[in-house]
Amino acid sequence: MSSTTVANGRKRLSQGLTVTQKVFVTSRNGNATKIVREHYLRNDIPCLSKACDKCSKLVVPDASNKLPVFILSESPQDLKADNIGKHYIVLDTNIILQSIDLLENESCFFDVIVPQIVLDEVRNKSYPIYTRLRTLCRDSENNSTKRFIVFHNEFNENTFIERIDDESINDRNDRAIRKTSSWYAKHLKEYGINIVLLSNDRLNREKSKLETSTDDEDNTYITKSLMQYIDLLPNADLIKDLVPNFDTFNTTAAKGETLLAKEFTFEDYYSTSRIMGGLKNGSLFQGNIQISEFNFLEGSINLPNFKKPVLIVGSKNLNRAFNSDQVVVELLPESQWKAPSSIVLDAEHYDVNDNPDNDDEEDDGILNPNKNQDAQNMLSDKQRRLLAQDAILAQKSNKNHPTAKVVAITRRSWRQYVGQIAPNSVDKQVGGTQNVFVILMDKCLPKIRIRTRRANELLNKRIVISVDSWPADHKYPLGHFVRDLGDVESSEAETEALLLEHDVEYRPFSRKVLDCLPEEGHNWKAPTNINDPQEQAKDPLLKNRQDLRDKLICSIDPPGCVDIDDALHAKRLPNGNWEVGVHIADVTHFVKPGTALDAEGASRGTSVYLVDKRIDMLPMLLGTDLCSLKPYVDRFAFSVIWELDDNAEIIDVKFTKSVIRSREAFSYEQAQLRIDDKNQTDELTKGMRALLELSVKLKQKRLDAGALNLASPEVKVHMDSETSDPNEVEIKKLLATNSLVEEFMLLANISVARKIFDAFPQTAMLRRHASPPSTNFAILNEMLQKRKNLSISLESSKALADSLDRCIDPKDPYFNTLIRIMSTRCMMAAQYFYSGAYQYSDFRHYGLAVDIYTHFTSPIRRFCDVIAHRQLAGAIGYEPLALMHRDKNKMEMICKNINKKHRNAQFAGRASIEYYVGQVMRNNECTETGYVIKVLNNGIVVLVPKFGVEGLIRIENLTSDPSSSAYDEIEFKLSFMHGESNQTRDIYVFDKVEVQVRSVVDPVTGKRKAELLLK
Amino acid sequence: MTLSIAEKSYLYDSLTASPSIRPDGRKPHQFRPIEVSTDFLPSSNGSSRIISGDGSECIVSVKAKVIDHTLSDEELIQVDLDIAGERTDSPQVETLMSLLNKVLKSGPGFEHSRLQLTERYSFKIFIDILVISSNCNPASLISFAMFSALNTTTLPKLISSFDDLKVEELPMFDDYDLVNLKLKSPLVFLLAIVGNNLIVDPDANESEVCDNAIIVTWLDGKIRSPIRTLTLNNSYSKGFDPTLLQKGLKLIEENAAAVLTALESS
Repeated sequence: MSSTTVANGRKRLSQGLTVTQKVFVTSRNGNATKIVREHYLRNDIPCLSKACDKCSKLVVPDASNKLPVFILSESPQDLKADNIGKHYIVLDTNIILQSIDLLENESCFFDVIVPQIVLDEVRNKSYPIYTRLRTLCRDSENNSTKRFIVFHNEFNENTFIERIDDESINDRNDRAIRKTSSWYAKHLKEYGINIVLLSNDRLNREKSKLETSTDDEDNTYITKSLMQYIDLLPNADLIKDLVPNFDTFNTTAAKGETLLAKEFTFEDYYSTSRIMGGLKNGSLFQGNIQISEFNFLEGSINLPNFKKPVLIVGSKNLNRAFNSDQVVVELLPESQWKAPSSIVLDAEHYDVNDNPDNDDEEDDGILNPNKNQDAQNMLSDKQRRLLAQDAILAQKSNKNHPTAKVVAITRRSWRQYVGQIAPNSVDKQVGGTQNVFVILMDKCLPKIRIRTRRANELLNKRIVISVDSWPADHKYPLGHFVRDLGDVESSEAETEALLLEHDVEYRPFSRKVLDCLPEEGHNWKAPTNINDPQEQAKDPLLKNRQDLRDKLICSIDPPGCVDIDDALHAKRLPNGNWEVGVHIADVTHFVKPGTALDAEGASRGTSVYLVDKRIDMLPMLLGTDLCSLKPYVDRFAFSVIWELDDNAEIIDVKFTKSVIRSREAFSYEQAQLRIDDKNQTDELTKGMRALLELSVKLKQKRLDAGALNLASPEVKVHMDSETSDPNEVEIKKLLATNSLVEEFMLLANISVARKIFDAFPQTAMLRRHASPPSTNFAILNEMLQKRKNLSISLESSKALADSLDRCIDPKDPYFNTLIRIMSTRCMMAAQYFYSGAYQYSDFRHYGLAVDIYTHFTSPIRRFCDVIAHRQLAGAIGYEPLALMHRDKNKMEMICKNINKKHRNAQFAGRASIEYYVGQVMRNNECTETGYVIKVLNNGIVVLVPKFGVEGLIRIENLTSDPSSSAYDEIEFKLSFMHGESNQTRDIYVFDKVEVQVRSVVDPVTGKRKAELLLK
Repeated sequence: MTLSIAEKSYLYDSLTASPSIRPDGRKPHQFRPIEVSTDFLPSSNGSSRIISGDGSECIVSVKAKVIDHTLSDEELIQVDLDIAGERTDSPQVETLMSLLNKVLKSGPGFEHSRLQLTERYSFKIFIDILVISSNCNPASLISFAMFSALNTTTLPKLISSFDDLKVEELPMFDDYDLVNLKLKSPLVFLLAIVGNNLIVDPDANESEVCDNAIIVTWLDGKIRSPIRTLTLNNSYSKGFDPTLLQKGLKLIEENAAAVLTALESS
């Protein structure tokens, strides 16, 4: 046993293992606790450089019996400048937090060492950046350009340091990083590899320079700031643009010149202890802020105890909050409460002439409505609580809405954003680096200031940027350029921009995911004989399957559909009842829990349907071949078989995994034709006719129970088959066969929901639709009452359905559809949830008027259905349910994710339709009928049913004299001077108008949109 | 301890002689040697261990917690005593506990207000005393140990603001730095009365034959309450002359300062 002496404070346990003690204090919830931890050190942690032959003798296998892989190259990048030579880079925490994009870039940072202490600090500061860093390290094994390793300096006997008395924790960590660098320098000296420590912390750099100058020759390493290092790289010019912007390199003031005192500054955020105290005693509130899409300077926040959202008005009160940030707010005194704005304001047209270089700003009424802030600071917490009580009371009446101001941001929702450079912020004369504004695709977000040398080049392109910071003395946030997607209006750039903005993962499936697919690939076949012992040996679950290949099954789907989820059959039983079967693609046979394929599917959550593209949730091999219930081949399915009487009442229901053979795959039209054709009398057709009759009865039952029949302006774009250019736009029509499939799918979903809830009462995967609160319909009802003397009843879903049926205008048949469309917008969103989260009465699906519901019938394109399949398989005893679907916490995370992805997919689909509709209109300008759906102070919103498009017509475009306009919010009327005759024209909500529709490019933002002009 | 009648008589006679002759040859004002070590429990805020000359041993640990003193009326110092081998409701433990609580009551010279953190919050400290073995009454030993522990107790350092009555802040503490509490607890001395003589720090033998005993508390250079009499044995106990009380107090006043210096220097 080696008896090398151990440093003070450490105790040797065995050869190669020593232990030391760490004592520190944690402040939790106001309490201070002393924590004592034992810390183990070892002497066999390798440097992971391929050039080193000392460490390969030291290594020991880990818990899974694998030896550590040496990654760092033996001949790394050689920089002649500054005598650096061949070198590895050691990163400080601030470099990673500030420039993670740069680290991921393929043209720099090749061999990088991340000390363990830096990794821990990054994780504490920002979990998303930590994940990205870990991905970089993990992929280093297979990547030829990027070699990132994590060096466990805290566990290595030679590089661990104890904290000196009175040293702050940050200083101690900085010293640990420097110690790591010097150890590496000494370790790799004989192989001719230098170490460069990169740190943006000036103090750290100074201390390291001091240490290396006094240390002996062997331990010297080079220290640089990020900019200094980048300047030395051969491709410096390319990379400088990507360096993040923290305004430390502000070039607007020349040396010696004093900067103008910045008059404009946001209020500083409160300290953590103030916030924790305030939240605890009810004087401050925390929630997520939503920025109104009509007015980017107005936000609202939903708070517990408050019936309606609290408003946050004005940029000073918003205090640098972005849409969907998690913020802490404080109520403003009553004198500053106000009504929500009825004006439209967006970031693009606001302060258009701001200069990106300077920030001095005069106060103007719209930005800063509250002049005297001082009165605020005198409030004690008790007064704040009383104010909160007053606010809750005030919300009951509709007059004055309480307002608040943001005092801290607990979690930023920053991600990468797509946008384009505002053309009027670019100075075409300047050739070098300049500050420009980037206007983002998301209307609720402010302009971002970036620095770039390629401003002129990037002018008409869609670019991806990342936000770095928003210091209190800057009017706009600072960001940096990440990459360029292509020309604006080009369909590749627009599609990619759309997918990025909606957080849709569209990259191809990784190697790991594809490895989970069956190795036979397209040659996979269902076994011909279920009872064959050989087949059963290969797949032990096979004996639990039923052979239903004798059933006359067919599928009915949209034309051109290749991923067939569902198929049906009907057969008359001897006792006069009907055996009806719904067969769903058996995806969970191929997607097992805990595999990479499952993880990827869970993360994607749903397939996304764009006009010309489909982003799959699962690889195409499954979706369009092995799982798809194609006709004439044997396929695995999950079957729901009912015994129904002639009135479509359920006598019995059975669930089973099965093997089926679909006889035909129809499109809706083909199925309708076949049913209607009197000459077809074979069993399959008879079955289809029975299905149709039963589906009609089922529908009637649902409508009697109060199911809603709402409409949304669904349009389909027809593409030219040759050029893929959009040709024309069509509104979708509904046939009886659509309804046939829909009814049985609903029935299947309901039956499965009951079964899985019965088997797993705490974690069943379900879908609910909350009834809409009456406040949502308040404005619509007021408008209907005033203008048409009609109303919508909310007593029950049946009452709603009936009152909607009564909302007709004898002169205009479209009016009813219009009201249905507007009602859809007042509804709550349906959501996925797990059964333990709510009580049974809250399982209700309002729109379908059923007490319990789930999604089961489309596992190829929705992840909720995959989970429902697994739970049903567990419920019928086919296969035990995986633990992750029995754990409430895991189910909660899954539900949160699929709800988010579902919403994003809907928005992405709509955005895609909007874009293509815009392209169609580009070629044909026309005059169409429109309906006014909202009247504002400075404009009206018109819906054009033919295109399914709605647009805002500003007051400036309605009349040549905007100041003469009058807004009457009681009557929902906007009056203005019209045309040359100077007559007053009144526009009311629900009015039918003629509008000229054309597609224009906005001169300020460079964006294309549908412009509507009133005729 | 069982002594025969002859032994007890011998002890009594030698102790009541003038000058008093103690079995181990100590002077009347002389204490037995003790060994004190402090600050050896890393998870407590303060700790001490005292071993007396006859093998009696006692460990004291001090832990702290943050409480809102505007909401509760609790005492800021809470003591808990555990004598090995005794039930927690035995008379010996109960009387000692009540004595200790009186000793630690807040008063001039020993203000609990030293524990205050902010307008709203204070530290509450919990003193846990474990008497591992004891051959005679451990009151004095315990108080020495408690003094050493409190003298070396360190509390977390506050980094948020002090004034938080109107605008509430949750207190936040420094991760590493600790502040010395600097709270000196009173010392308890035991005086045995044998005939006309007073002896300080009686050992097991002496306690068996003494007439009576006085407990005296001393803080900040002065005698303070509680002052009590105590019977150390059942056979020899009888009353005593009140002038002896005065003599005893004077004896303590002369020697206590030296004890304090000795304890502080450890």
